[in-house]
Amino acid sequence: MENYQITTATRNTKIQVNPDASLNFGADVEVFGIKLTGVIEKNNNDVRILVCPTSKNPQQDVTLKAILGELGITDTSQADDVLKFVGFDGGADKVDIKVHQAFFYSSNAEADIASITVPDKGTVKIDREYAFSLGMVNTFEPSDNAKKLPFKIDSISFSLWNSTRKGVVESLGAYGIADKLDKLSE
Amino acid sequence: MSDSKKYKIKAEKDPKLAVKLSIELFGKKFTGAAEKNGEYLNISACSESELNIKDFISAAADKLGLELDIPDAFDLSVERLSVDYIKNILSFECEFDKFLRKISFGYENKNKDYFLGFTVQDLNLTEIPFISEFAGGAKFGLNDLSLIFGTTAQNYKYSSAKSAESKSFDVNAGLSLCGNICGFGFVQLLKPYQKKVKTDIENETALSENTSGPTTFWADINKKVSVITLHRAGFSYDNGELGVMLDISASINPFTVSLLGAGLRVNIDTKDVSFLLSGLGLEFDNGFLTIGGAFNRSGNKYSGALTVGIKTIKITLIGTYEKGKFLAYALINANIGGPPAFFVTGLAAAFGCNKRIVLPDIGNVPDFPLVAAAVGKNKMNLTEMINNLENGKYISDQEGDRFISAGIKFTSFNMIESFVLLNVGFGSKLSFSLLGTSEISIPPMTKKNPIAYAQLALKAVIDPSEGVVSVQAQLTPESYILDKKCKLNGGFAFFLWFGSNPHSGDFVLSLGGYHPKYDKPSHYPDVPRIGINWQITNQLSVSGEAYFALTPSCIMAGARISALYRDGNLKAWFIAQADFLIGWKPFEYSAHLCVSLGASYTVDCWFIHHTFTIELGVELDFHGPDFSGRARISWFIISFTVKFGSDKQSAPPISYQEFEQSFLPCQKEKSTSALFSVNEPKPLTVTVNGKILGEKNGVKYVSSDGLSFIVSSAVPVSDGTLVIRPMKSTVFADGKPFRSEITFDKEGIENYTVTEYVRRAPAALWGGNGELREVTSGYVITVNDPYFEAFPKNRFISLEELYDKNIQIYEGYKFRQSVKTEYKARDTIKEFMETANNVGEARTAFIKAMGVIPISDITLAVYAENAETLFDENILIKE
Repeated sequence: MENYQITTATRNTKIQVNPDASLNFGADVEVFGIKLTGVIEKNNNDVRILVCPTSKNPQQDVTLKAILGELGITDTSQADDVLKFVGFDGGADKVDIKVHQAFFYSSNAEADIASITVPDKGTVKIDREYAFSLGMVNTFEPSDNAKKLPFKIDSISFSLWNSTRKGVVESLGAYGIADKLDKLSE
Repeated sequence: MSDSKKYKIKAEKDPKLAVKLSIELFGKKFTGAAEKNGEYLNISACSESELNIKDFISAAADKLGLELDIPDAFDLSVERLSVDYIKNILSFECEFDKFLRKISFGYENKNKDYFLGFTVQDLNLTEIPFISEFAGGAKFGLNDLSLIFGTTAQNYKYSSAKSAESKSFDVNAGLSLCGNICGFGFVQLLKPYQKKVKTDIENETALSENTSGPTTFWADINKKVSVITLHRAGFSYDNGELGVMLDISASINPFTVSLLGAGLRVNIDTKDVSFLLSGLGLEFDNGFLTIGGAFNRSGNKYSGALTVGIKTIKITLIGTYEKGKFLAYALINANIGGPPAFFVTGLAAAFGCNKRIVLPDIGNVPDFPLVAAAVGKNKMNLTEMINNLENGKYISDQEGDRFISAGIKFTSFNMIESFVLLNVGFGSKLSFSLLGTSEISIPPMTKKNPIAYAQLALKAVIDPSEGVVSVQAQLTPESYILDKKCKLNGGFAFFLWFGSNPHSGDFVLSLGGYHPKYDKPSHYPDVPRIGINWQITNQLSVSGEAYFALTPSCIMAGARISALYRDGNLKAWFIAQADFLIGWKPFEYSAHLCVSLGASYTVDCWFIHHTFTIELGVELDFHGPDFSGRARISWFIISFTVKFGSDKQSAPPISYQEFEQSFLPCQKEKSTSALFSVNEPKPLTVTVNGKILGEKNGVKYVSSDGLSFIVSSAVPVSDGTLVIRPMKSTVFADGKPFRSEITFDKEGIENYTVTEYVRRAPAALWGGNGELREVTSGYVITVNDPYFEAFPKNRFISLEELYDKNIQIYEGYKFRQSVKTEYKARDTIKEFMETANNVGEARTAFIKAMGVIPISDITLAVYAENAETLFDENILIKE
């Protein structure tokens, strides 16, 4: 089986697939410098990639802040507040993460995705959906506030997504409290 | 990787970041999103595996210190359970496709409040056999029936199964039953919650009663649909079965048919349905002949009613019985006769065994079942009468208590219809009460739209154990004159406290309430103003009111009349008011009189907003002594105030002699002069609590068993200097400080237990904040429990003495004469050793006669051989 290398964001993106074929095949991929294994599905111009961590290669430590930066998220105050409340003082930029699960979906109906012309600088608009389930590697001692809660906090993880696909959101547990409350009040 | 060119992903959709927490909650793992909102950490999480609801609630109750008894029927599993922890409130709800539709649980972490709710599937009541025929094609259902227990008032949200619409019930703290029937929402508080340590448990028990016992909880509905009246809906749980019941009646002249407890019972697990009917009533009334009967069985409680009448004579009998608890009520309506002022038209009698009357507030006297049955505004059918008597609100079960009631219904000059009911309660305590109503209509006896109607409720109580005598009367809200919008209102109250009541010696008489500035003690009753309130038109209203009150320390009276006209921006008014307050010990008075006549118009045009007022007002305040005050003239062009007298407003202090005579308890004592007697202050009282054994030479003897004395002083025992407020001083005229001490000789004190006697004393007399404060005013001396010494240590009791003299040891042990046995000195141990082996046959026969079959021969050979060492004393052998 031919291996395909995919990188995102600040790294070069190189997807080498036949634009006319409908394929579904396994691939080793690297996301934010973390080696993952996954499935690539190509249907005409749509390329869908579902990835999960590989046990073969140990994951590199990547900070949450770095990933957020890659995706253009700069405001981490909400995450920082929660981390501080439960007893982790470092904030998002001190959080080392590992990828539990990831979902990518790229679509470019107008052009063959394999022939995207990458400008020297500037921005390329690509309709791209993603959802990540990220685990926190760091350990922490629960704060006094956390000890007063009626439950015990075992571990912290993060969901990072822009996809609205129901299946993706549910399988990756990608929801915030507001989403949940909105759903309840429907 | 070689042709590296950087670009940024710009996704069309905004990215979201959520912090997820994996938590352990009551032994189960949950994962969910967390966010910080102000001071709160909010979490919305889902269980990671299947869990059992009963186990989960039980674990939650254990962890949170709640004593919930969740029945096995709620042993239901869910694949995933969502839990929210929002603003310190932990909650979850899960839905099932079983008869039990939803379970909700909420817990507020800060105040430790919680709620637990159960909602059942909607029911089409017309599918129930009795009701389907009864309804005659009409369809009605019982929707969203929920049983909710909460330790605080809340808005209980639910999704209607019928429309999936989000709805809510506002429920109070306690156990509530709510739902919708025929579109009518109802919420019935079944048992209020009282936040006390022990009561928590009691309330948990209440929930347990509901969910594990056969108790049925009822919610009043009283709605009419066509010829059908829905009286109430009930909810029960018993051994895994939920029951839903209705009390329903249909009136098709001249018949009234009633069904009691008609409904269905559903097994939560199997969904097996059984139909219920606990009682049936049938009445025939064509105006000439009345005949009817009703019978109801609810668990072990049996109730029945019978009514028979011809023309104006009608006899009604009602009775209920349940395991020694008995209640009977008889009512006769007939023109019995009498003078025009007291023409008797009916008699009533009631008796309750293991029942207690819970007296209603004066405002609820017309609803008291024994009164309502006799003079109810709406004619009640038999089943309604039964329900009223059984509902437990006013006549509760109380082991050992009994009551007798006798009532009389009469008219005065054919204008006033009255009913009074005298109740005597006895058993655990003796009490007398009088409840009644009086109605007047003008024209007389007009039932439909009289020009004037007044209903007065009356309540009088003598309760020696509580130390209260009270008489209250109050106009009910139905009272009016000329027009139904011209409401009459007002009340009267007389309260006297005596005996062991902490307010003993106090009294109050009030007609229409109190002076606006009078600081009413909390134990004084609230009395509505006597007055009239008439909304003549939408623009014009007139009201007038008056009051008078007398207390041990002051008298007050006042009146107010006002007329108000309001039409858009125009307002006009006339107000006249007068209030007087006279106090004594120390003596002081104050008065406030005012008259105001005015009009105002508010201009509200573009940017101009202004109110133009024309008013002429006169206000006069005076007080004393010394006489002083102020008068204020308010006119729209000029206002001024004229002061007169001194500014000094405080009343002068009274002397100790005056204080002593006025505020300390007195006892009339014979003076050395035969011509007059004097009242001597007796601040010290001794109360003896004990069983009176008898009287000898004028001296009463009491049993030492449980004997206690209360030595109390009307003057608080002072640690330091005593403050007497009316004297505005802490010292006598000679400069010696006030002190109050009680001393007692401590000889023999080891036989007694001495504790402080604390009572509430008025701060107005003895200083302190608020109205009353707790003060030590004496001691309680209790005789220690007698020690029964069967074998005294300080002397020897011989067997001869025990047998022959029939002695008593602290009355605890007494040999009966019938067991007296002749005692002869002989060596019975030797006798036993010699004969023990010779009576084996007789012994075996005796044992067999006792019903015991020995499996082997019984021998006492070893026992007899060692008898000399085994026995210290001679043994008793019957000759």
